[in-house]
Amino acid sequence: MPLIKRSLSDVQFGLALLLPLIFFVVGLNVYPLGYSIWMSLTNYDISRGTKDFIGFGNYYTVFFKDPYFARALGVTLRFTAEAVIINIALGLGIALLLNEVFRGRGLMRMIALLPWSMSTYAVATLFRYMTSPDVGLLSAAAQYLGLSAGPVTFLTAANAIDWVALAFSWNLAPLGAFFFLANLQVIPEDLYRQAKTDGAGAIRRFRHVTLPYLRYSLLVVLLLVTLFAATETTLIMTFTGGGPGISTHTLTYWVYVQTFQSYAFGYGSALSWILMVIVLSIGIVYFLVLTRRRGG
Amino acid sequence: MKVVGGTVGGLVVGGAIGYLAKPSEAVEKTITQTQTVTKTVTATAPVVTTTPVQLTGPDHALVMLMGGYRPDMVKASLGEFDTQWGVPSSTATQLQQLSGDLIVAQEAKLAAGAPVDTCLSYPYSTVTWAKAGWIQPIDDIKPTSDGVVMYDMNDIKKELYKNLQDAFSVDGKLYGLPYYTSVVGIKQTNERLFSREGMSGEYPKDYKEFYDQLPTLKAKCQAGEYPFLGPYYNEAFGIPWTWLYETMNQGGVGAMFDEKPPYGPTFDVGTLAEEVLTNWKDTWDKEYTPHSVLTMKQTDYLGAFSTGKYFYSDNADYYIGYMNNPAKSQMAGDCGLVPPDKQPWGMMDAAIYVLANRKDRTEKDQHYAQAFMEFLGYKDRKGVYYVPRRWGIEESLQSGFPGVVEDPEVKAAYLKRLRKPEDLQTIGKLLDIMPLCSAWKAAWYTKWNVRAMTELPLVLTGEKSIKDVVTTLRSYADELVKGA
Repeated sequence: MPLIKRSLSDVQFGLALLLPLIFFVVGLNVYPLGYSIWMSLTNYDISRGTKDFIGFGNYYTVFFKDPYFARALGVTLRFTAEAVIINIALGLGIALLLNEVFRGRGLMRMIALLPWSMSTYAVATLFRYMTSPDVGLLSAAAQYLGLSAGPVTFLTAANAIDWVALAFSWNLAPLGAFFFLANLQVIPEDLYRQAKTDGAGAIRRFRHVTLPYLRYSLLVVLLLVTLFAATETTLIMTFTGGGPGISTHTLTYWVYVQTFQSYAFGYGSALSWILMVIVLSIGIVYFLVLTRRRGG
Repeated sequence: MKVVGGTVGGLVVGGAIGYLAKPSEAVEKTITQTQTVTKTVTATAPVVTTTPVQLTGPDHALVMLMGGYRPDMVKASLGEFDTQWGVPSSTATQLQQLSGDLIVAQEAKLAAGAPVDTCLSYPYSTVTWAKAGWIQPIDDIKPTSDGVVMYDMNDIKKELYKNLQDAFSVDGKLYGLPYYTSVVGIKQTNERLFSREGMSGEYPKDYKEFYDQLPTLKAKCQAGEYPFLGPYYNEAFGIPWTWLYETMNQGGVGAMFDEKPPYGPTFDVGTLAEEVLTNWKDTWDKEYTPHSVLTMKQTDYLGAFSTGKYFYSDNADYYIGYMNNPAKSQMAGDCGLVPPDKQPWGMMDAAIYVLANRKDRTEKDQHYAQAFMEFLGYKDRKGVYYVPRRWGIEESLQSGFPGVVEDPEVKAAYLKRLRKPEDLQTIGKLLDIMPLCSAWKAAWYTKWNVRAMTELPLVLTGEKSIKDVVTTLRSYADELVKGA
């Protein structure tokens, strides 16, 4: 070590130490991203055997010629919005419940975490069977309770995406719940007492005491859920397979179809970058709204 | 088969192949244990002398990709290959079991240049893989002087059914040997329901009669029952293929696409293809089929029919065993087939073992990879259709060779899974007359299939008119042909 140190300046030595890390970052992040950008500017298609540079041709096609893009974008936004709302509501509800003092709270905290421990594939399979008209629990229950004379089709073109959002939220809500719970536990009890003394009811206490403390965990949960929801593929592939029809074709599913079923790698890459820009924009908006300073 | 089993595979000496009479089990043991057949040749076939043949295994372990279907059987076959070809444990043949969409998962491996020797392809994916350079033609495979490759592909081709050779060829070159061949879209019946309604044997002779019968069946349905489990399920081989075979069954192979290159579309508004969709829409709107089929994957579709709540379903021929299996089906023993009369039901489907272009392959590896492909798709060292027979016996998978199809043991196993012996004739007849989609030989077909899978459900859900969907798919096919 002293020999190496003697022949290198401090800066050089520091760079030498960073070299392995730089190598990994370039190899695992920069190169794939760069390659993906380059692919999006080509007509790379293995079924046609083409790999020519076409500039922004793919992007033009996405916005002006692809008859499914607008619809897929709409489905993505709807799914993401529903997932965010259900996740926040469920997560916050669970957190508030688990923040109370009651017997068996430890056990309840463990049980609440269980859905998150399941793989996406398992969750999708669970919901697929649960909603199956022929062998599903829900259909059987509806018939048993006399609510339906025959099998019930839950996944229709109109509401299948809502079921996917529900399955997604059921799986991910515990993550948000534990972020919120961690925040709730650091709120000084004195603040609640003072608020009570000032005559604040439960809703006002929640709004003026609890919520401000949750701002940063809310930002983290919003960002994570949005990112995960907007890029979710496994759940959709396994639960609905994009159906019925194309009612659960989100942008990521469309990327999958174009890239791996239609072999249009260049076009799929362009779609991926558009999705990334959309998700990034939403993230920036969250950040700006939730971190702006109050008052003048 | 006993005759075939009584021979030992050819051993190549000085570039010539000789088929030797198998004297005893000891021959194989010699190969396995010592990885040499020198002594065997000398001891049992004095007519073939000179150069010793040593089986020492490949330089790199062979790698095979496979889905989740009967991995136990696949692993057993791999073990048998290693034993017969003297592959040491250090380079034992490896099985990589992939989950999810098998084609997509395999393509990811092939595109990334992963070390792969053998994988599964289908008639519609073979052309793309061949053009991408991921797989190699196998026409030139000949017995090798090291004794690894046993059979001449020209001899194999003479045995292989002609229509399969065509299906597995790209630009006149053969790219694989059959894993299975089947009829997809065969009309299965639930005889329990037909018998209950006193309608046993009242089968339609063509699609017109079939659709005409649905209202009668609907009237007889009890709660939760349907006349038909429409094969509009959410798979690449689901709803798009149903449109293909239903149109081709009524209008001939050329009713969807040209029979000759570039296999351009022949379907359009005002043709039979539109009429087929009109029948579908009627079936959907009048709830002759459950609306849940659109989200079903193939496993769901099979599971639904096995509940015994449907009069008819379209399936692959080999799933008859599933439906008549008491461990898997609630209608076991009551699943029958509608015999073809005025027209076929369904079309040909097949899967093939293909030889991947592995980059780190040595010459010796190449020989083993070729021998492995022949073992999987044809015969073992003893001249037995080892793998195809096992699939036929255990899973009712039809082979591409008459020697397997006519095998008494395979036939007996098939019969056990059928409700009545006549159903075997039905399958045989359909295998003879089933059409093959000509456009599967076009590299653009997969893209069109994806679009069809996207568009066709919209007819049923009412989001698009039939004419719009037909026009969209026709224009897209024209565009693809033009850009090819």
